[in-house]
Amino acid sequence: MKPFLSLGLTSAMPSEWLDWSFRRCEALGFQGLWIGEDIGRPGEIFTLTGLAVLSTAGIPVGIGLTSPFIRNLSTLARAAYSLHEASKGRFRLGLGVGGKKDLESLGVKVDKPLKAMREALTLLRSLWKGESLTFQSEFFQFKNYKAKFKAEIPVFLGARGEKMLRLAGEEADGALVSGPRGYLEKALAFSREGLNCTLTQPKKLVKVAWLPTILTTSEEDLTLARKVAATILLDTPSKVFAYSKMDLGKVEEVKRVAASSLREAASLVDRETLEALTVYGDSEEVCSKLRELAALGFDEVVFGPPYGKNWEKAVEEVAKAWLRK
Amino acid sequence: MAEKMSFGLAVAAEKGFWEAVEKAVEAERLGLGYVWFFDRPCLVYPPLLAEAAASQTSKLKLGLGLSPLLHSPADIASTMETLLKFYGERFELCLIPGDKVQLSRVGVSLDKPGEALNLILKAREKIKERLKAEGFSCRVWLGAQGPEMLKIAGRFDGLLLNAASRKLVEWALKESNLRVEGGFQLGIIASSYVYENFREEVYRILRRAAAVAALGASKRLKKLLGFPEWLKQASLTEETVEKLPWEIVENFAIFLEAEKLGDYVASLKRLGVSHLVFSHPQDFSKETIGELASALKRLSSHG
Repeated sequence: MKPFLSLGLTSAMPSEWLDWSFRRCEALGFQGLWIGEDIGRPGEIFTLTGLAVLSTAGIPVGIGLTSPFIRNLSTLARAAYSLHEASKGRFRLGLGVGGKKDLESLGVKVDKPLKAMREALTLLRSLWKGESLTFQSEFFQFKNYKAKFKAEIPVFLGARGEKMLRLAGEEADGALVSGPRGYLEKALAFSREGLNCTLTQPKKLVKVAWLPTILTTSEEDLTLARKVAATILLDTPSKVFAYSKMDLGKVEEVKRVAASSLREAASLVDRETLEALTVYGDSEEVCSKLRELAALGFDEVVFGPPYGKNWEKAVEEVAKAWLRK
Repeated sequence: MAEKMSFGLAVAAEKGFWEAVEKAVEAERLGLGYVWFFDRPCLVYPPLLAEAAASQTSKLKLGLGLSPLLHSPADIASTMETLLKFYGERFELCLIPGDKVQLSRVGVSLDKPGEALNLILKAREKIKERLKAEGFSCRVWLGAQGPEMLKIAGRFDGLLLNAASRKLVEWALKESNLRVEGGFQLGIIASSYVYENFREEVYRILRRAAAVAALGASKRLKKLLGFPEWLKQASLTEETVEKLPWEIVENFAIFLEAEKLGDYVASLKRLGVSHLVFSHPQDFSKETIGELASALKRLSSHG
């Protein structure tokens, strides 16, 4: 099957970007839309996704991702249901634990992310079935709660670690995967292992790859790409790199420098590292690399931030190049 | 008579998302100025209803009733900002404590006295600050009924009082020491059924909704209203709803033949009320909304 190309956005992007993207993405040929929540920054994820849903007519629109630990789970369940209704069934909910620093800024600490995420998934499904719920755990408390609505909403798990990927395979409808290119194959294998563990009827797991994509038409774009790569190195657990066949010595060196100066760290990012962590090049190269990703076994690939210095042009050019093939 | 009074309809999404949106669209078509969506933890998420309604209407003002006990002030501010930015300045916010029982079902319980009060005041401050910093103009109401909550009403741009009778409005004004002046708005919201063609089914819903509001009233208010001793501690059952005397229930219900609406509105205006929200079951169907709209139209045409 031909892979899907979706457009990826995040909630703190300038409102004119978002508005333009929501209105144009379908006409440009994107087959899906994902909006990630920038926790603690302006731009409210549910109303923005609502705007996306109301601005499009036929493509799936998803939140990719939000954390189930930063607001009352009933609010997440209700907002997801409302988006499902508003979109007439086009909505997809992507869940991730959330970045450590982001969670800490809200006073949230998740010690057992796997257990908590499994709970969140089970509870959400139960709420959407209209079941009466009584439950007590560190993160979720319900007492005889019953929502007055029912829906079947596809849930995607944003996963990077081995166990979370298995959970995605086991419990979710899809997996949003990111990480070094060399790791992605391994990530798919983990999610397949989870899929094999399901006790329910055989199901399909939709696998989505979302790597930072940058249309590089100038030296300035390359500098941006390197900065993005340095940020990823800083944020990614070392374990992931171990699977990725990257030069671990080089990785650790960039990480060390990045902790004090991102700009300096960016200057240490070579072509090989850039290639492993981002999708960059001119529009043809970007599309060809996205197709290579899809060939690993992904059903959907995302053209997401930072796009390049001229984001509007980048989005248009990549969409055109994708359609040409 | 009606030119200085604004009127709104509170729409509950009891029958689904798009039906609620269609009712808001119908309200605008029929000339109502406001539609309010209030938060209930078991129903759809109000900001998305308001957003969908905004996308299908052009002038209608949209009110959102949200509880800072359930949503963080940052989330509420961010929601309002996003709506105001993309759909224009036609949104208003009402901060409400929310129903204690319903909140406890989703793990929100406030045991210390005054905790809800402080949370709401802090939320108001943060939300106003952020909206001001972003250059947005948005009225922030307080939705209240109990004496404690009424005391902080003066800190808001308006009070949306959950009451229907003159007696309750007078009591609330006294309790809160409120002066309706200098841009401050006094509004009331109550379960309503203003009708031309009476329907027993709608009346039953009205009676139940108003009885629920009455049974949830504070001790002081119950005393004022002369609650029978056995009902003061009574929990909400079909029996208590049935047995609650109408003389008590009517303080929380706008139940009027359409032609009597004018006198009622005039009596409220004399008390300083400038915003009147007709709540469930007035939104029962497009017909019940239409009957209200016709009555309001007659009011304005009679001056």
